[in-house]
Amino acid sequence: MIGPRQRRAKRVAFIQQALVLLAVGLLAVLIARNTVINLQARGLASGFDFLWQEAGFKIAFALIPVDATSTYGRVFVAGLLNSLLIAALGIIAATLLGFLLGIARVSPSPPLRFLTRGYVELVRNLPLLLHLLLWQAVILRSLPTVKDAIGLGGIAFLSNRGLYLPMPLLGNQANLLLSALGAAAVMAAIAWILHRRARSHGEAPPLLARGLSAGSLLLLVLVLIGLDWQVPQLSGFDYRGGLKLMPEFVSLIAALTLYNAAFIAEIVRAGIQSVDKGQREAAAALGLSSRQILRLVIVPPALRVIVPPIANQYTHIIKASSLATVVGFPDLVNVFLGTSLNQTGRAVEIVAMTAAVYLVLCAAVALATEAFNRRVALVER
Amino acid sequence: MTAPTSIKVRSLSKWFGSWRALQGVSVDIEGGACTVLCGPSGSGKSTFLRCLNGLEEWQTGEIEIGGIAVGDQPRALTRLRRDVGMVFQSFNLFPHLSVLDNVTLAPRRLLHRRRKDAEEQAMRLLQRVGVARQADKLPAGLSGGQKQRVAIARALAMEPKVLLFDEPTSALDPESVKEVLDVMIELAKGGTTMVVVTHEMGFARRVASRVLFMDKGRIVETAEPEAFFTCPCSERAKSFLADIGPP
Ligand SMILES: Nc1ncnc2c1ncn2[C@@H]1O[C@H](COP(=O)(O)OP(=O)(O)O)[C@@H](O)[C@H]1O
Ligand SMILES: [Mg+2]
Repeated sequence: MIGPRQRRAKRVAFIQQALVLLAVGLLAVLIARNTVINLQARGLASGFDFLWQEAGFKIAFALIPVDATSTYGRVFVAGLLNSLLIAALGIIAATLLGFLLGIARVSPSPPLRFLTRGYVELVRNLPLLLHLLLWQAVILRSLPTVKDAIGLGGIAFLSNRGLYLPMPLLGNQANLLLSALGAAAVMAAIAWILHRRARSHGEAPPLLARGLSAGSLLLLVLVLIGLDWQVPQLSGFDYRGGLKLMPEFVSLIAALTLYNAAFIAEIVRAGIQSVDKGQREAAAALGLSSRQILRLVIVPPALRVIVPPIANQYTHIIKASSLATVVGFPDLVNVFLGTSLNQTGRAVEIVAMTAAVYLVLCAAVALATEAFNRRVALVER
Repeated sequence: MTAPTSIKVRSLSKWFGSWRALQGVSVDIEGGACTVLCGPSGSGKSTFLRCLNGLEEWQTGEIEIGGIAVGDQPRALTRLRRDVGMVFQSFNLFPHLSVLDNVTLAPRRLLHRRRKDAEEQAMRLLQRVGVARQADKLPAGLSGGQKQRVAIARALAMEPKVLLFDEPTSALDPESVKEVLDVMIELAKGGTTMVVVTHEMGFARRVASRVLFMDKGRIVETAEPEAFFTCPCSERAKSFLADIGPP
């Protein structure tokens, strides 16, 4: 129960926070005003109108169409999307690899423990920049030229110009495809519900459930086959068709993934080891299999220990995505804080916008973590 | 009612590195009865008990429970463990699950009971050990005695043929000790094979059919409780009994 004392303490804390916030806000307004006045005094333009002006430069890789006639606003969005792509891929890949490595770190097999430990100690004690430059060098130096590209099953190719992947062309089939995907999703959902119902009743899942899961899988396969796949084809000096991932992109993702996976592995290991050995033994004594023990008894309490530091690692990946600039991949920092700032001179606006992007992304991660903590705080030890 | 499950142990030896914790233990444990195992700290009682359900690996010797060999083949071992419940000194409840879920976890996952059936059974067991009112709490909200009684209910939920207790009352205050012992005395009347490591001599006198006295990795004395407490044969048992005081 909250007593009157706690309530008073809470009110005092609230007033203090409000005052601090007010002071910071006032300071920010003062600095902004001062800067604008200074800039005007020197005849430098300010304001955000440049976002609608033509940027006049091309971007080597973009998820939305960008050309020399695009505005700075569009360049900002393209850079932002590239940064998000790097961060998202880095986070997903590092998490998957990190969990595998972390579980291997505490596996009963000594060679596996030894190998993963060696990996972790080697990788996490070298600077990320070194990893990045190393991968860049490996890809650029040791991979063959386009002419002698390494074929991966004849549909993907790896050369020192990057990784070429097959990519479906979503033309006029798009609607058909989307409805097929939707149908498969609905079928899978129904199958899942039936499976769950059967399981909580201790029965075997009904034939309908099996049929539906098989059907949705079949539909998915058909969709994948039915897509208009563009396989990269060598024409002239480069491959055409499909998706071309720049070497800078590949080395950046490789470095971010391998480096951060080592940290995540340590976090996962610590989380698993934080679960008391006695609970593992109690579960084993009941007759649960080692997989059931991991899933039902170790992972749920371990997640409480794992999630906060992993979220911290995610904010690190988000910020480290800006290392793209070092290898020349057009992320937000490269195209906006770099080229756009050089051309427009709108330092205050561009720095503020770029900083705001990273602040918002990291705040989103922090909020999600807090929500998770609040949910699991209910099951305090 | 099927025949009670007996346990046969033959020349069991166990080394921790170069330290030999069990020195060729051979013993027959009667089915459907309560056997108390006692002895000084470090004599190998826990190690012995943990070998019985394969929580501890051993180097030489054989163990059979109800005629089935305890081995290291994982599938056979998990199958066997369903029939051998264990209660630990430190309770080892799952902290992220409610009392009810602690009890229903194994029956639902291993015996594929429907949730409703598993919960009904769990409530009956919690009633029996006297903690039904705590069913929705997390383990953190219970007293030591309540935790241990939940742990007993959790072990009983698999309807085991054998129950192993490793000093179930050593971490409890005197009042809780009584709560837990009362539950165990009740259980001993039910005809489950029980092996209990304990220094509660009152309990041993009341319900044990036999007392095994262990010292330095060997079972040095096997006797009826009355005979063991009134005139132990070995010098070690005499000084042990003098140390723990009268029952
Ligand atoms: N995991 C272990 N590693 C090394 N030695 C152990 C381990 N577990 C127990 N021992 C040793 O084995 C002996 C018997 O221990 P234990 O069975 O726990 O004794 P008790 O339960 O009778 O007090 C002790 O000397 C103890 O130090
Ligand atoms: Mg012990």
